[in-house]
Amino acid sequence: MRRRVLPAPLVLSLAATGCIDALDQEQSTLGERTRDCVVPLPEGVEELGAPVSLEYPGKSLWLWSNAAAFVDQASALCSDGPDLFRDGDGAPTPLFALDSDELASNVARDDGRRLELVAVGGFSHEDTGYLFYEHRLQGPGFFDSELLGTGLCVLDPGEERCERLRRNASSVLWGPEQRFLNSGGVVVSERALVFGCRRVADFLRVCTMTGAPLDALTDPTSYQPYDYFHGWVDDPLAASVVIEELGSVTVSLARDGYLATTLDPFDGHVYVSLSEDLLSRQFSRRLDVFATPLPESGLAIGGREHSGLRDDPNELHVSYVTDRPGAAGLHLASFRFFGKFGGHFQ
Amino acid sequence: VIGLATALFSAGLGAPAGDGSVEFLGFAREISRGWSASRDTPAMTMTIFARPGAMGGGELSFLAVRFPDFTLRNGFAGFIELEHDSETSRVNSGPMPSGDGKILWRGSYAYQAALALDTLGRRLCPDCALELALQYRHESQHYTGSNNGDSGLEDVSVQPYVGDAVLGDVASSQHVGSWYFAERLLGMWYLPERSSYDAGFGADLHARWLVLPRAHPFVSLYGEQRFGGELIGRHYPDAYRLRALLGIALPSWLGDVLVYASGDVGHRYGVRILTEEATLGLGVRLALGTTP
Repeated sequence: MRRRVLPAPLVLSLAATGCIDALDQEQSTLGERTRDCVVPLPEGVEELGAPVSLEYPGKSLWLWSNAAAFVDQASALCSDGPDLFRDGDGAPTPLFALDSDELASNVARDDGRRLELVAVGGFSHEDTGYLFYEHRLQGPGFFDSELLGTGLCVLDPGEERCERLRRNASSVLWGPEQRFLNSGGVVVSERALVFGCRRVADFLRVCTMTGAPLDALTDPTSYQPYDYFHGWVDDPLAASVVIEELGSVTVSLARDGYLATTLDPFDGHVYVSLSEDLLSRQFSRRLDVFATPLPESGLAIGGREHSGLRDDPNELHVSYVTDRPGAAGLHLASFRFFGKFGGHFQ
Repeated sequence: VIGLATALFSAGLGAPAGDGSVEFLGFAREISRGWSASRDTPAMTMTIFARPGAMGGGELSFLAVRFPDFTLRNGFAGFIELEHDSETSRVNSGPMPSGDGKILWRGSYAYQAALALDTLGRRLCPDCALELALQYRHESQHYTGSNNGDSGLEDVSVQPYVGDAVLGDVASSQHVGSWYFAERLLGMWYLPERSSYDAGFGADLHARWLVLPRAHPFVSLYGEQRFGGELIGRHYPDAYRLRALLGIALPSWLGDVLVYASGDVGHRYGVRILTEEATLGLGVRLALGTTP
């Protein structure tokens, strides 16, 4: 009988078995980034940080510590920069500022601390803006900051200065742990829903929801936290957690519900989460939308979403700041979801 | 498919039982798919390298009706495949090849009908066979949780979902000297809103040397291209696979024991479809179906 041998290629293949060579790692995508521009600096301004914003139908009010501007076109913002509110001398003006008593008190202090008012977000209703701001004692060290409480400033239509509401002569309407209102809000049906996030442990920051009837938006006592089980309650620590994120959170209306947008401070990615019904369930797990270049400091800055700039429901506009060489400054990134995004909540 | 199955049952049950025109359980096709290099081949399979894996699967006809010029078969195909996420690194009790990391798995079922054109095939050549097939196929991919209670894989919702598809194929086979060849062309149409893919196509070639009655050296080649689509607002990239098997087929009246070395280039399967790689491996398959 004639001896037969295994073909040489088979032998070689057997000898080389067990080999895996990675070639590529692809990604599925929710849409495409359509814009990522460095916002030009307006005249007389040397730097623009990450803005806080109030979202109006068809426009967005951007707020910095010493300046403010309405933005209604993403493309115009990228080509011309923001058209800042200015005083008679042409100097940029903020939406609100310390009053004379507060300024005098700051001058009189000798402990190295000073009162600052920090805008944190809000909502608009019938062309009126409702801006929440924090009273903070800053200093003496750079990172020393004590929250004294939260106030509300109302911007009437056509105005460039908002009116700080006062109660019993104080503009601190809510104590530091009384209500959490630092992450903007939306108007849904007969109520404004305001979101607030707070750090409860290392790497754990929870966000809750507080609501107020539309006919009592200037009444501090009308703002009540929401609990999935008991509805509107008085105890802020009884409020249900709607989302957990370490970065800034912006909630907006989406085609079939609500969209929460965040910029993760550690990886620089913009994520969105979805909710069909804010009154009955948390936001979904987050979906990775796009990446931004991390600053050289290592932590992403900004991340507010500006729903007022959307030309259609599938757009997402996010502002952020980076100091990366060649791209340093305030950025506006725009993203367009594929047509059926949000049609099904996962 | 249901209509065709009903017609087949009606024809089969109405025909005389003893004249050989009706067969209940049998091979799913005239030209077996069991020799294909595709990893979607439903057959009992153990993959030893590059990653440890095991597939329980097969395809059989419920009913075959033989007409003078053609044979109609309807049947079922399905499998469950387990695969480690890492390379083979040890042998578990059993013995079974094993490795570190999570175990990925995917499952598939398909209802199918095959039309063997017996007369037309023989007109092409005395040993030729020709067959058309249509199947409705589902595939989903998963991974196991940990038995120790720790976390599972990362979020895999970004991975494509194979989902539901209608697949059609045309196959031929012929003897050339002491060689046997089987070829198959496939077209894939994925149902809208039921898959991350829109369409695809594939080609299959099997060649075996029949010089020895009890051991047939063989080579199988398979290639496919799938075109990515949109599912629930997420767009998925295209995927391709090229695979070759080179080995020995040990034939019996039921089918073959295939012992083979494999080479792959392209996208992985299961919840790792977005990963593109090249591998060399080793496996054993029990393939139903015989060469004519």
